[in-house]
Amino acid sequence: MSVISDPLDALPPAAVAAGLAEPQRGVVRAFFRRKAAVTALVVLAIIVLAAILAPVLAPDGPTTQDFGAQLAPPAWDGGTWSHVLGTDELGRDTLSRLMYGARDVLALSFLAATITAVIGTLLGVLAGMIERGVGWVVNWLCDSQLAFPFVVLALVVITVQGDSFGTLLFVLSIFGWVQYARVVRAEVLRLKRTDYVLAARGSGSSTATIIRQHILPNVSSQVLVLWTFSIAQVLLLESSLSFLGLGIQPPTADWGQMFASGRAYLLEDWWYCFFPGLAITITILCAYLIGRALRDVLNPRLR
Amino acid sequence: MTSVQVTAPAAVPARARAAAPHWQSVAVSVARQAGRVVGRLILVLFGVLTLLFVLLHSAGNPAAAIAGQNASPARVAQVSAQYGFNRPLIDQYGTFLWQSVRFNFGQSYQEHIPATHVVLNLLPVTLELIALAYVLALLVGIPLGLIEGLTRSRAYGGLMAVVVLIGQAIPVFASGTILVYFLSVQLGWLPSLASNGLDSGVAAVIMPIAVLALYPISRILEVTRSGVRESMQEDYIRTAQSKGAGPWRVVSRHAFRPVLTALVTVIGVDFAQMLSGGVLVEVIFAWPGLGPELVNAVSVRDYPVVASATYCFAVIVVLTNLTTDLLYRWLDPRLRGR
Repeated sequence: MSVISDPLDALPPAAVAAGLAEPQRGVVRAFFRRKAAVTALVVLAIIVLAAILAPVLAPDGPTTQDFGAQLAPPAWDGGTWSHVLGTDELGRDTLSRLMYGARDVLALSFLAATITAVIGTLLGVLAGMIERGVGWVVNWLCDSQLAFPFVVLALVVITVQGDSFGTLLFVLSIFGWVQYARVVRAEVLRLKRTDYVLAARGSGSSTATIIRQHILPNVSSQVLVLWTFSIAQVLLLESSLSFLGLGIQPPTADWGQMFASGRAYLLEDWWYCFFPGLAITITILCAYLIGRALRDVLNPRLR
Repeated sequence: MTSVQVTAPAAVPARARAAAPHWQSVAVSVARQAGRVVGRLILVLFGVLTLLFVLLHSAGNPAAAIAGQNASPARVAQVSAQYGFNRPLIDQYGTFLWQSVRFNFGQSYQEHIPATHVVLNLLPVTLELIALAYVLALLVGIPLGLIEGLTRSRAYGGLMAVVVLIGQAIPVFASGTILVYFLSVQLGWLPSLASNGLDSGVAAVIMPIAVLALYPISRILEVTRSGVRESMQEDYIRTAQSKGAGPWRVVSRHAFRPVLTALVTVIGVDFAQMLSGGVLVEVIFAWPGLGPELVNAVSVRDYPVVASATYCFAVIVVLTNLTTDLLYRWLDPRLRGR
């Protein structure tokens, strides 16, 4: 029950004009004011760069075995500088395997998250625009799929499809679309009743144009936030599957699989599973922090 | 008698009103709600089974995957006939639905007993772990959240933010391995495996439960702290305080009620993810539940056990969501009419 009818009236007109003129810049500035998120972004960029430049930067190949240096400790713990982070039981350099493993892991995560986002958004728009019929079916699908825990769903698919890269991509892509569909559908239902959409309909815009011009731009910020969280979730799922031995198979380097193998040597050779575990945790943490910051920065402004 | 129209339109005479007792309308609305709930339950279970069927057949005839990579075509055909994969898809779908609803998934490939028996034997062990993890999460998360919601200490708030981050962003297998490394390997305080489930002794049981509880602790903490902070600013808190209610009564009876509903919701929403985490924790600590059995069944392609265990997990999630939904409506009287 505030006296001011529109909060914008309380501000001087110049500030209002400036704020409305370039809302994007305000968002970007707000994001960069959060130190945790900026740090996360920088760290993630470094990891991505290391993955892309692995063939150039890595000291060894991912499968080159150094028979003289099996289970060598890291350089500061009694090892040599040629294997900075130590080696595994076959003498393969940990740092190189981490960098090469990053390629598969990050590629899977980004791809799967993007596919999930696209599928989920499309179905969400569909369910929102056509409330009965198709909308009911999509809703029903959402409820059904939400009943399956992620890992369990993935295990079912791997049972019948084996564990190739393609299967992993399929598995990782089908699990997360529900959150997009739900959010986008809710937004679409809300937007359908706004004045500008009704006006657009009234002046004869086709459904496709309305979706393109009014609906998609308005859901894009939420989809972006979800996408960032999806990367963290897919990464988590992928490393969990690899940990269970059902992800990317050896000898291809993969963080979760390195972690699982390293657990057997935890007593004496701590570095074997510590560094892959650290890599997984840091990457997930970064994606999560960025997602959180995006959510805080984008949501209140565009509602 | 003058026929003066009174303002009350269509006023029901007192005698007719007494003929429709209140409990009858309540019973009708409860029955209607129960019918709606059961209907939704059936619909979701039907969807679950359909999705399961689609996934199980997503690679065409599953016989090839089950028989293994080096199987001869004759072996694949044999497996196909054994499981009925050579029948038309609609036929298989119908049989699958009909049998699954009665918990008949066939014989376990490995152990030659019905797959459902294998699953149901191990289910209580898993449920024990999950239940204890939730109990721990509630015992730890709610007080921590209450303290943060009620105090203004920024140091404490920062610490809690870190706890929330740890619970939500660190993978279960990472936190499990870290704890095992420090508490078992380095310090030797706790055993690293719990091969007998709850019977392994208190020391062995602490770590699996604590590791599994990290995620719900962070979620419960988040919900409690923001919920309490919000509800403490409501007018009814001031009313209660001005009526002379002591601080504990104000918090527990008035401030906490809306937080309860949010807690119930959060537990329901996260339950499926808890089961995922449960599978991993069971594998890490050798907890003899459904998780390791499922993983084993996947690696040997024991199709009936995989299907049965998956369906079992899904049913648990659906029932839990149903319970939290009912609880939520009971807790929030504003929703009882719906």
